[in-house]
Formats: sequence, C-alpha cells, structure tokens
Amino acid sequence: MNCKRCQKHLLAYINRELPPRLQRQVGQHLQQCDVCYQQLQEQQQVIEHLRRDVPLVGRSRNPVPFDQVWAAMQDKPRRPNRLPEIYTYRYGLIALIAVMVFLLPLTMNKRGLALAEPPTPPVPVVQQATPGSTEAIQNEATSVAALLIRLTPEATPQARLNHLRPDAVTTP
Amino acid sequence: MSQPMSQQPDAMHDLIQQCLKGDQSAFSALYDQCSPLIYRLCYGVLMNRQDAEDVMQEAFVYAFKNLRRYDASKASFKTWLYTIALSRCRNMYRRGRPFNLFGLLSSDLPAPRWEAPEVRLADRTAKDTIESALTTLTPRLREAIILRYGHGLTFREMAEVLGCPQKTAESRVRLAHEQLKRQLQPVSEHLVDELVGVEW
Repeated sequence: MNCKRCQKHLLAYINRELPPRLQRQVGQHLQQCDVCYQQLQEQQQVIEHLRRDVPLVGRSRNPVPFDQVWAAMQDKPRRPNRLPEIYTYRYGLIALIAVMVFLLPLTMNKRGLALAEPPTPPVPVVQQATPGSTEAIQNEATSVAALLIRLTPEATPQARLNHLRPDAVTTP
Repeated sequence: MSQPMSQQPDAMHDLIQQCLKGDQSAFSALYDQCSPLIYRLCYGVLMNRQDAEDVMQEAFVYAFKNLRRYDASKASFKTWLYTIALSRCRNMYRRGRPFNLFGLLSSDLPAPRWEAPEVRLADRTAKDTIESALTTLTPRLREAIILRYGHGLTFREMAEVLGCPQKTAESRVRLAHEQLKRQLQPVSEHLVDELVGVEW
C-alpha cells in the first residue's frame, strides 16, 4: 500500500465501503503515514461540510403546483397532418409535370430542340488556316510526296543528287 | 403528512398501481411525495430556480405519461425518477443557458418558521457558501456531489442514475472533493467566526 493508492481509496475508507482486506490495509498505512493521515482529516472535514450543507440546496415546498403538472399531462401533442399515400403520389406527379413545364423551355435552343446540339469537335489548326496557306500546304504535300519518291530505292543516284541540289531541276 | 419516498416501498407500489388505473388523487399523492426531492436534484444540478422548475415539470409529465414503462424489478422508483430528471437536466444545460450567478447569490428561499433566526442565518450563509462552491464544479461533478450528499445515494445507486460504472462515480466524487476542498476550507473558518459572534 503506497500513498497514491491509499489516497485513492480514502473516501471509500471513510464511508467504510472498502472490502475488509483493503479497509485494513488502508488503516495500517494511515497509522504510519502522516501525509495520508492529514489528507484523511481534510477529507473528513469536507465530507462534514457537504453532508451538512448540500441538503440545504434547493430546499423548497412544491414550487410547481400539481395542477400545473396535471394540465401539462392532458395537453395532447399535435400530430403532423399526414395525407394518404395516394394523394402523395398524385401531388408528386403534378409537381413533376409542373417542373418539366417550367424548366423545359430553359433547356431548349433557338431551333426549338429539346436538347442542345452536341458540341462540335475542335477544328484542327491546319483547316483553320488562311486560303493562301492552303496552297502552301498543298505544295508542301507535293514536295513530301516528291521526297518520298526521291528516297525510294528505285530512284537513280543521279536523280537523288539532282534533288538535293537547291537549283536542281527535276527531269522526268 | 405524506411519508418520505425512501420509506414504505409497498405503499409506493400501491400508489403506482392506483396511478396506472388513472386515479388523479394517486398522481397527486405521488407528486407530493416525490416533488421536493426532484426539485432539490434539479436545482442542485442547474443552480437556477426557473430552470429547475421547468425541468421538474417536464420530468414528472414524462414519468407520469410513461408510468407503464416502469419496471420495479430493474430499479427502484426513486432511481427511475432520478434518471429521468437528470436526463432532462442534462438536456437543459446542453442548450447552453448561462448560469445566473447574480440570481444565485440573491436567492430568497424562505426558511422553515420553526427555526430560530440564528439558525436560519447560519443555514442561509452555509447554503450560499455551498451553492457558490458548487457553481465552480463542472456539471458532471456537481451531479455526483448532489446525488451523494444531497440525496444519500450509494456509489452503486449513483452509477445507475448517472449511467456510468461505479468506479467512475467514485472518481467523480473524489475529483469534486479535491475542488471543493479549496473552496470550503478558508470559508469554513470565517463561518465559525460568524456563528460565534451572533447574538441571542
């Protein structure tokens, strides 16, 4: 039995609510330890205060008369108005139709289609170029094809050399 | 004069049976027996007269309406009623109503007429002191002290009412002691001086 354990059981010891063996152990420790014995005296003083004064708290004679309590018992709580299920379904359907009627025009476009047109796919950058550049692209495509011809194994070495020269003129 | 709640459990059982039959006079008798204890419990926990009255009324209305649910084999009627009242008290102070400490200090509960003025003065001073000390406790600790010393419940009964293990009830009382010790010790010496100085 150490001081910490003894002080933990002091209240129960004072009220004789400990098991006999523990009650005896605490008593033996209190005979030997002055600190715990002083704690015991302080606890006893507090208990005396509380036993004498706490019953005074709230001492009164029927602050609420019985008639008031009885009247409160008789008041029946209002039950929420519950419609039959069939009315619930009808009103729900009407509400759904009303929502569709009011919201449907908002979802239509100028052509009167119920659904908006799907977004057009993004236009490639090449197709959006100016007409002038379209010719350049065509020329480039032609040159790419010519390059492929030049790079093919069937092409003659001389033809290849001729094409590599900037001023070379292609001869059929 | 009505018998205290703690005496004559058979009489209490008979009274409850009369209440279940709808006898209004039985309800009135049961209310007269139990209301002082429940009000003291509510006031001790809430430390506010108006709140205590409201909670007490709520507790009795609920208890009387649900009297058929009371099972004597599980708990005594006092414990059952205490549990209901304490639950209502916890609902009240969870709503966040602040303490009216000014109202607490100016409480005007009338003292019994048969007491001498000096006794009444001493009681009033002691009551103010203990109420001021109790307001410094948390609600959980205050519940434990009120049940333990205001109503004489054992730790086992406290555990049933508080809805916690018995060891928890003991530790709450012990913690409340530690806090109240600091509050009560210097005041007690002053109180003794006042009592000695009072003239007959």
